[in-house]
Amino acid sequence: MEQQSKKNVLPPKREDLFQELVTFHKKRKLPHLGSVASCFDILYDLFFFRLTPQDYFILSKGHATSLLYLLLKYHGVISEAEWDRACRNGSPLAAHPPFAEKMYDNWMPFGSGSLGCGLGLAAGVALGCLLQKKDPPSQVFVLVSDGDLNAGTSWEALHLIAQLKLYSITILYDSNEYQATTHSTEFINHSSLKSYLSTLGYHLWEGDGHIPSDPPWYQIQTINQVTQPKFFIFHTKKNFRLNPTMHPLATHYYDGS
Amino acid sequence: MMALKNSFFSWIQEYLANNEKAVLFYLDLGWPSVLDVKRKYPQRVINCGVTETNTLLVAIGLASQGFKVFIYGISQFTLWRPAEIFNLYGKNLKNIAIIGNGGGFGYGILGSSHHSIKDYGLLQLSGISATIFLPRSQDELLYQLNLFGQQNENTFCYYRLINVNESKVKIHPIDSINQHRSGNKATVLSIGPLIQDHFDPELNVDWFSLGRWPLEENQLKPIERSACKTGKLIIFEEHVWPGSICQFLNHLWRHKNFAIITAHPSHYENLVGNRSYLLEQAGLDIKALKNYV
Repeated sequence: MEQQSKKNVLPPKREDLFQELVTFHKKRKLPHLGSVASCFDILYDLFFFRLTPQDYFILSKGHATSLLYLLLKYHGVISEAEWDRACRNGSPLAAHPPFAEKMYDNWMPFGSGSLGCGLGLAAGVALGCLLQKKDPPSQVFVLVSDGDLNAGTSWEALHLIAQLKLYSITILYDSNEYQATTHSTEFINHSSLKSYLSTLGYHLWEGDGHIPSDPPWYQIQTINQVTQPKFFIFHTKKNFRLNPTMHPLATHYYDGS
Repeated sequence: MMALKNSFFSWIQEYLANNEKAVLFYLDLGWPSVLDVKRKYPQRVINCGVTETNTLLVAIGLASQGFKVFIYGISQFTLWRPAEIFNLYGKNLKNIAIIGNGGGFGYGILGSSHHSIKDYGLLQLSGISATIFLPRSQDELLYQLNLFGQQNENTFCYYRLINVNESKVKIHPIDSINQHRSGNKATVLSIGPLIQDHFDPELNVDWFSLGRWPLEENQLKPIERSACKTGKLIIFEEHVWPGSICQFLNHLWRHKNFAIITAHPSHYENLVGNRSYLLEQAGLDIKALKNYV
């Protein structure tokens, strides 16, 4: 895999970056702004403070692709021109991560868009890194959504990750609690999720996904010392930074206009 | 009767010994042979359980790290459960091989849940670049496995394993298409290990068999020439019509001046029986062939 060089960049202001995203969606009438808003702070912190060039990031919740493209643009992985063309007719960058013959970048290694695929892909990458005894070790971060955890494949992968002791995997769960048509608690009960994952051997953390520098990020800094796969539950809001009076369900297909 | 899976496990044991960047996933299948291989390479021989869909995703992730990945499972389960993954990640399937045990009616009496008569049709429908191996003998399987094992970058490969008898006809693996008999009443093409055990030498036909797909058009020329000579091509295939090789050939040669007769099972073979019985019911036995001729 050819690894693209990443620019060391000073993080832009959160609010400015978010506004850039809203404009991007508005211009294209691109839905899923709520999905982007809920994971904005998680990915902002990850991409500006935690990821190293040898790490992998897999966006399993493909709805948040505009945010991923924007972060990749800031790191010089995609160009300004590609960003301008993204999600428009003729661009290879669709509104979900592209399926390419060769890995686009290790921060966008695979296509996605059908929920439930990211954890399995991550397991394969982490297994490959483990068998190769990579030094320095690569960490594999995966962002999953409520909808992702509905899928049976995610559970197949969660079991395998624990079974194979793939400690380099950190699962970032953007728990905004709303899917396209319903509250996610119809499908996921957090208390049983935590107790079950704990039984499987996951290192768990749960907290607010919109507060920068909260404990999980400290843990990610010392990630190599945790000899368990990690599962962080971030409680987030789908209308965060959007109109607070807008119902979270209405933000799913919201395009900012 | 030779279980081709045993040949696979002997081969993979040696292959893992010589190739550190190779991994075998098995889907809770392959007892007892797989356990011997696992004992030797516990880190690289992994039981993924009954998780066919996720296993293909893991294989894609692992192959992206430069590994060759083998997935061993029941043909029908290993292909159809992850059908969506084939559809989405077709471009990322390089260096992955699925070893599908019990292709066609290979699982016989175990029932239609285990029959795999729409296997490579699914791959063709997904539009992925796949090499389909239909080994007709143990030697041919080993040759085909080496093709995958020795190349640096492979397309996705699917091996359709059906237990075969010690062949009475000579199979030349390198050729992929072999001519076994000569005659002038008809041209017969059998796909994979079909009718070779029961072929009647008295039949006055040109008989070809095929062990790999797709093939270049020029490799198909001898069959075409023969059919032009005899005026009748009879294709025997243990696969439903959509996505089958006979469908492809029927289209390819639709304007030629010979008749094409295809024998294949229908979509839902709910009959109960062993492979020989099911082949007979589907008109894929020697009696049916004589009628067609």
